Amino acid sequence: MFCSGCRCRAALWGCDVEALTSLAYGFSVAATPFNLMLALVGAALGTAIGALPGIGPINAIVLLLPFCFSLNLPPESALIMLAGLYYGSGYGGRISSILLNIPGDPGLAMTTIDGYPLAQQGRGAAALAISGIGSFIGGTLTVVLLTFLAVPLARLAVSFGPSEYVALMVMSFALLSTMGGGRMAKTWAAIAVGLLLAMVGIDGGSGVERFTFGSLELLGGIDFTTLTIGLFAVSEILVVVEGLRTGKVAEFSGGERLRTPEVIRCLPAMLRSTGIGFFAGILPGTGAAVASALAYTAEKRISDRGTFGKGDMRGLAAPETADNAAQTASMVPMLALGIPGSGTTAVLLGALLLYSITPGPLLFTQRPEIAWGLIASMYIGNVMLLVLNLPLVGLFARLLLVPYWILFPAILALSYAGVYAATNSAFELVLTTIIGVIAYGMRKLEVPLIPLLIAFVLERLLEDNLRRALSLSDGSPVILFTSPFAIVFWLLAALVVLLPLIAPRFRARVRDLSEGEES
Amino acid sequence: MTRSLLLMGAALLAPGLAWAQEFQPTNPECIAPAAPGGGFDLTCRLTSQELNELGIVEPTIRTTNMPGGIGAVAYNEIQASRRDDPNVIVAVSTGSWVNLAQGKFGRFSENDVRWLGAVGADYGVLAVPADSRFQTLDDFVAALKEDPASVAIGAGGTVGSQDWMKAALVAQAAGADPTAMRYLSYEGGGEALAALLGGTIEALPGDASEMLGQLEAGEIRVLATFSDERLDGAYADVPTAKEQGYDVQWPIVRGFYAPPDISDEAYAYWTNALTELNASPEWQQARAEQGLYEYSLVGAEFDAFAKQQTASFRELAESVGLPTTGE
Amino acid sequence: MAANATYDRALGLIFLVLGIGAMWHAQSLQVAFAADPIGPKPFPTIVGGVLALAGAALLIRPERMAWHPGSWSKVAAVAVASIVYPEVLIPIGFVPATSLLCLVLARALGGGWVQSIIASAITAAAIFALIDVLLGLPLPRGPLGV
Repeated sequence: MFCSGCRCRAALWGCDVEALTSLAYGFSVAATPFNLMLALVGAALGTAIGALPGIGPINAIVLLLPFCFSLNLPPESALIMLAGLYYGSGYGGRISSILLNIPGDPGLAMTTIDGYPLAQQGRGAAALAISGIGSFIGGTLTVVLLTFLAVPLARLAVSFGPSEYVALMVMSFALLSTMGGGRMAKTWAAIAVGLLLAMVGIDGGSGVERFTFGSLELLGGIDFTTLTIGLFAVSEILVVVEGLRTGKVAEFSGGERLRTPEVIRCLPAMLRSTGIGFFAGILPGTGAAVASALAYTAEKRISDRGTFGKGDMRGLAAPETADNAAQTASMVPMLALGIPGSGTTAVLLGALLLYSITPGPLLFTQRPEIAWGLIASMYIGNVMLLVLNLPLVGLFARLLLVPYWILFPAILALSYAGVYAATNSAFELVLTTIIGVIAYGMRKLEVPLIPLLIAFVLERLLEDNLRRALSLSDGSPVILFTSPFAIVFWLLAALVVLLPLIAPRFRARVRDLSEGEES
Repeated sequence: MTRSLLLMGAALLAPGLAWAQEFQPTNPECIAPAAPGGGFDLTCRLTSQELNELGIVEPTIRTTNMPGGIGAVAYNEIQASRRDDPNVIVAVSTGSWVNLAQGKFGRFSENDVRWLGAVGADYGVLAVPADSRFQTLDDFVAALKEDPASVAIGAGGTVGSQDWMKAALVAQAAGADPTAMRYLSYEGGGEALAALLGGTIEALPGDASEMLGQLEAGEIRVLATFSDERLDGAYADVPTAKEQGYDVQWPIVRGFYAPPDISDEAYAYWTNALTELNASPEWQQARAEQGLYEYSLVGAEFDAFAKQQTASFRELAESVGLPTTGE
Repeated sequence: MAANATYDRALGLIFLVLGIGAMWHAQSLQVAFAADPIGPKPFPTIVGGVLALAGAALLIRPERMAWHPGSWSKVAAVAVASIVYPEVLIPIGFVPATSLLCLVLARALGGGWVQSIIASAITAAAIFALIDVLLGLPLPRGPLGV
């Protein structure tokens, strides 16, 4: 009834064969020279647009739609190109994050933590390469999962109720609290500021305006892109202007190439992050920003031996892999159930509507050329992006050879133009600048900005879901602990918090015991 | 462009001719009070495209996005700096009037712009999962009557938004207190739909077009459409609320308004353009492809409709204690 | 500049005031009715409390910090230019406004006068061409039409 591949739950093997047949059909659609060319155009454009701060894939897709119409592209071709643009943007965005410490998109903030130190050590090209490989692995493994398990996974994702989300958010905050670095009071203040900023706007449960101070522009809340650009791009430029940054990237020269052992060392991190990214991506409401934050903090918890934040390849590979995995995974509910899992997939769904195609569970059977052609094109697109990106990392890294007095004005102007073009509001630019100046002050006073951003991302998910859950239970908190998934997240959260407290004592205990045996 | 310049030139040379007195826009603009990709954005882009392609409006219409407060920011921008700009039209929908009625558009009221006309409408529907305990609207209303909190209703809007109001109207028709409803507010229609399919919520007051795919696939059952007559296609078998004895109607009208101080010629130009558009078969096809239905109120009729809608939303909001502009 | 505790104290005071302000704002919300048992107040109240506590902790136990001033005047110039930029964007148009912003930043980053003027004008024009002309996202056109 739904996806031709996944109706048979009992006969798993038969199911796989069917999915493979459908996929082969998809390749026959996607691998025509014309569609291959469109996928390439989409991927290349996506990389370019992703590299521009402030202009996200949503704008790019909306702008390209009329072109698709005027060229009379068939819907599957249009979708192949637009989707290429979407996941291609994930590859483009890392350039300024790694080389300049300027993430153009909320999902890329975590990329800067270890990516920029690597660039400072003269390994910008290697960092770009590892993030390209991570993106490829995250994207491709996710498409494989999508091919075989789209419908059951989408069903699982929508069965997540408010209490599961609450538990997931508590686990996320537990991981966030272990980010460490600097003084606890300052980290907590940063988290609180991020939470408060996220509360600005109309409250869903009551329709009341919070922290808007009568401003109509703030009714809809603070825009994610505005916050990211202000917090990171503007404040970073002010830091550069101040001219005190040590470890100048300007002394960059070609850089040491990425070595195979380094890639192998990152593989476990990439696999874990694919899982995390995939999971966060298929859930409606969470997206690439949550995925990369979770992946980074989890990887830090697992692998950090004091090297994270100082240019650890794994700290870069984790968020980059998760970011792309989540972007691709957000297509799962869209394709399997016709539910937009993110803003961009909502626009892609809108594109289908414009072609008079009703997105929904019947897409796989009614229009298999669209569904399977798109899935097949994602395999091709990821390979294209890797092939397109890897040879170019050296060229991208040469961006740093451009004198600062040309490079940074261009970045700042592009950021402002992007914010303005999407909102047509001078207010939004003022807000960006004010956030940037405050963020600069916070940097000088050693208040960490990353926890602020993550808290901002997580707040609505936590508050809204907690209130939904308690609304369902008439205020009884028992509902939060009643589902197996929720219990698993609560246990993980407890583990994250308690392990560092218990582990040293436990180790000491073991040592005592073994010493006792010896004597 | 060239032709309109010629027309203007001709108008200057021959002021006596009747046709030459007509207003012609020079650099027309459609403001979509939402981010790219939203409903307003589509309304603007598609309408502009058709108006240009059909030659109803000669110069190319540019679409500008001005997101913020479901139209509040654009409404205030028009009031503040473009009160007499005859070249601009702004997209509006039922959701804007809902917010206007509750004072979320600042100090301005529905009397502060010139309502041009509607180009189409979607309709509210009440959806439940395919395996729901509710078979008809009667079942649903009976449950609400018994205990308004016994049904978990969710939608992609805040308390006071149009999705909430749809549910509140059903509750009122059932004689139940809307404030006692168990209402779960989601970030968007997609999240609410996921919650419905996943079983977190039992009913979703949504829009006909966004529910169509799920209805065709048999994932959901639609208990009623909030339209005057039955809708076509997959909805042909779904009775209206009115048929089932509850007079709840909820058209989600998509239309345009113009700044308050434009000339009557400019107002006539734009209303004529919309009338012509609504009559053209090309637009009728484009409208149907978007999942929108005919809703061709233009000019004075639309003006009266906009004011009457806003007033009724104000009344509903007042009756449940939400803050309003209190006309 | 010598390390001292003033900065932490000032920061703590700001956080304390902001936190109390957030709590006060939350309490002053007029709620007709909320669809859930919690309502809109508790979250901002608790978070405001956390912020106030964190501020108090900094105020009571500040750490000595050195403030490295760097090129203060340049930072101030760029910040002021960025705040003025949105105000002049619509009256004078994207390209002139952006050229001026880029010029201030280019000078602050050590570009020569002539070089900076040329680079700023080219940057602004190129971005206008990219976003307004090529991508079709309208940017403000001032009296010069760009």
